[in-house]
Amino acid sequence: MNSNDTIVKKDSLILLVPAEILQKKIMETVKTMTDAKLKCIYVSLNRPAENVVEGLKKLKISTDDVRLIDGISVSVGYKPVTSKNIIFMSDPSDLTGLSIAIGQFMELLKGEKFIIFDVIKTMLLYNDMSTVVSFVNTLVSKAKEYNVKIRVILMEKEDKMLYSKIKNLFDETVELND
Amino acid sequence: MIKLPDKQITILLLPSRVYNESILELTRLISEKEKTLLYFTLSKPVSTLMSFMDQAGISIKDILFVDAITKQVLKTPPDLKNVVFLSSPSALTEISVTLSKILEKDGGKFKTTIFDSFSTVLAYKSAEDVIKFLHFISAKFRVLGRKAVFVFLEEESNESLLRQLNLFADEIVRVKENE
Repeated sequence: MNSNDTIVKKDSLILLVPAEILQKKIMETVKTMTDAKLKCIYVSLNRPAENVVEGLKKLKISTDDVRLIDGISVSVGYKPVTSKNIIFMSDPSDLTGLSIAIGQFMELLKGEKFIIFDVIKTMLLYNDMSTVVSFVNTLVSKAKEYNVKIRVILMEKEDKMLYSKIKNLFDETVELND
Repeated sequence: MIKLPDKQITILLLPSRVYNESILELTRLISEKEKTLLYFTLSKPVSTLMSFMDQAGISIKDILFVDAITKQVLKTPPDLKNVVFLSSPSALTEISVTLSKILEKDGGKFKTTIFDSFSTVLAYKSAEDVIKFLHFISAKFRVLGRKAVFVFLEEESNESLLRQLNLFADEIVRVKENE
């Protein structure tokens, strides 16, 4: 199985990426998965939904089958407009709100789908390690229960501690380099 | 050689030997192209900065300065029309609130903001605090559709911190001494 097959087919994966190409690899992963006809639940904790949509369009990824959870815009003063494709969280530390939002899209978005995090490291800016690990554990279980694939992207050098604590929850780790 | 940043969030990493000339060149490029500029000075008092700019032939009349250093040494800073004084480079909430007030009320006037130099904050705050703050204000710039250049001095920054800035920066530009 080559790395693209693995990225598409495995249920739960950690993708280890050099920090310098983080955003590029996140978008390429979404492209690989959506080209394989999987629908996407994109959790963005760093960039406003509008920026994510621009990035998707640049790679010619159809946004029809992408649902976004924007965890940052409201916290910096953006007044969200109602959209069936985007859920705005109150702030990036709200893991309960995030869990509810993911659950909503898991139920509403029909067909084979995956969740991708941009990026889970951000949770550690607002929560302690044990809370984040516990959240990831619950999320991976929930994804299995709903038959949703999950892709978590970590920086290969900076996220070693987090990686050591969550790697056993996932089917496999894939290292992505240029 | 300094180029005009074309990405929304840029980290500009400067060696100290070329810091002064690079920052002046950056200011010149942005202010000539965009006519206006919002400039947060976190390491030099605004009077010194204005004097450097004046000597370099840079027009400062359309630059709004936010000075977070002068009040640390002068209880009553000079009354200057295009300067806002803050208490300290470590006052991150004050910096954030001031930035929001300016950008949300300027009608889109300031397309680019320079933070010079953000590595100064590392003398007062932990790398974790700096990353958290940059995470927050980068999102602010994105939501408002503006650009920001965060200047870091190479000698004051470490590789681990810089790699983590990839979380929210579009580009990290490293200027070499011989460029």
